[in-house]
Amino acid sequence: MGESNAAEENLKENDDEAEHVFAKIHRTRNSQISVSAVCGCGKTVEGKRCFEKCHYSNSNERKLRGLLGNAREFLKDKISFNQAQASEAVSAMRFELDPKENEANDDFWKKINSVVRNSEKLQSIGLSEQLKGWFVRLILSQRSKFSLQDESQILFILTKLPDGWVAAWAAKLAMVRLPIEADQGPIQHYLFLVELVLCCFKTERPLSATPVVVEKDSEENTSGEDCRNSTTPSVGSNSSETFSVLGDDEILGGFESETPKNPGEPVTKPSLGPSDLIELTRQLRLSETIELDLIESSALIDIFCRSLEIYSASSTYAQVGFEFISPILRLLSLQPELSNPVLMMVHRSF
Amino acid sequence: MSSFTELERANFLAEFERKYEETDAVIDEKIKNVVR
Repeated sequence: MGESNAAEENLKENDDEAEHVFAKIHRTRNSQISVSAVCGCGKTVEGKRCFEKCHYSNSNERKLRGLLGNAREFLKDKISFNQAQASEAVSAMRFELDPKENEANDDFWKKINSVVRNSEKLQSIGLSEQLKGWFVRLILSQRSKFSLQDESQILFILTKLPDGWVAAWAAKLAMVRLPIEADQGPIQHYLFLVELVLCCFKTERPLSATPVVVEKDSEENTSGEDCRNSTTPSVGSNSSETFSVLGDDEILGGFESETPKNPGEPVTKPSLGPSDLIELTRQLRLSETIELDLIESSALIDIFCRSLEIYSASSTYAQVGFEFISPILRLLSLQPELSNPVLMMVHRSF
Repeated sequence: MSSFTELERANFLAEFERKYEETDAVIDEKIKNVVR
């Protein structure tokens, strides 16, 4: 695909250059020379003569244009061929990237890593939008089976993604509705919030959300996307507010548009601001609901460190970080044996 | 829940990095074809 784009660019440049050369030849061919002299009687005499500086004729030009036309056709055919090959290569890549049924966890992560590691290259050849979509689809296809470590791994991956991809992922997350189901693990939702905040950092965009009630849409489920957060309010919640800032077309596509629909219209960036995140965190009431035996210690420490990362990274989100850390500190106070490793990690992190 | 040792933590982090290190060779090849 890179070669094809370069060839197309090259052809255009050559065309322009050829036209420039022809124009130059024409100017040269029609050059005039003027001679003026003063006669003995005081009159100025002026003489002009047109002449051809090179052996150039219309038939020569026709021949040259013929050759140029043939070369142009040859290059165009070559470009078409390259484009067909590129299209085939993209299809083959997409086939490999598509989520497979009962895919092994390790295979899934290898795929994700391949996409993330090649994201800059793929962006440079104009495949950014498609890749973002495939990336999200891949994650959502597997996420319902995620362990706590997988959830943490997503946070880790998030820090490696190009900013544009993070913004797209944040938009996807922002449309998930809270409050959440009571029977879904609070820690996973806690991780979801940490992820959301990390997205906010990466996009470096103070975000304002307009809470709106969104009807449950069947399209999202039929497209194979995760629906664990898109159900009715939970019994554990203390608010009936739901949050979504994306339109139907964006829900179907999975992404906000990066360009305005109408020229001159500002691009809308859906996401959540610090106050929204604090409110969502409080709704979780983590310190009341977390069952200690549900938590894997390693994942807990990882979450704790990421919370500290949020807390220390930005004054804008400092309060959010504090809200995240509080329930974890409470858990640690109930499990003193975890305190030492946590302190060691904190010491290493800062 | 058992207490969390330094070794467990090291294993956890190693697993984390390993998961990030390994890529899918087939997809890498396909991406290479596309980018070329």
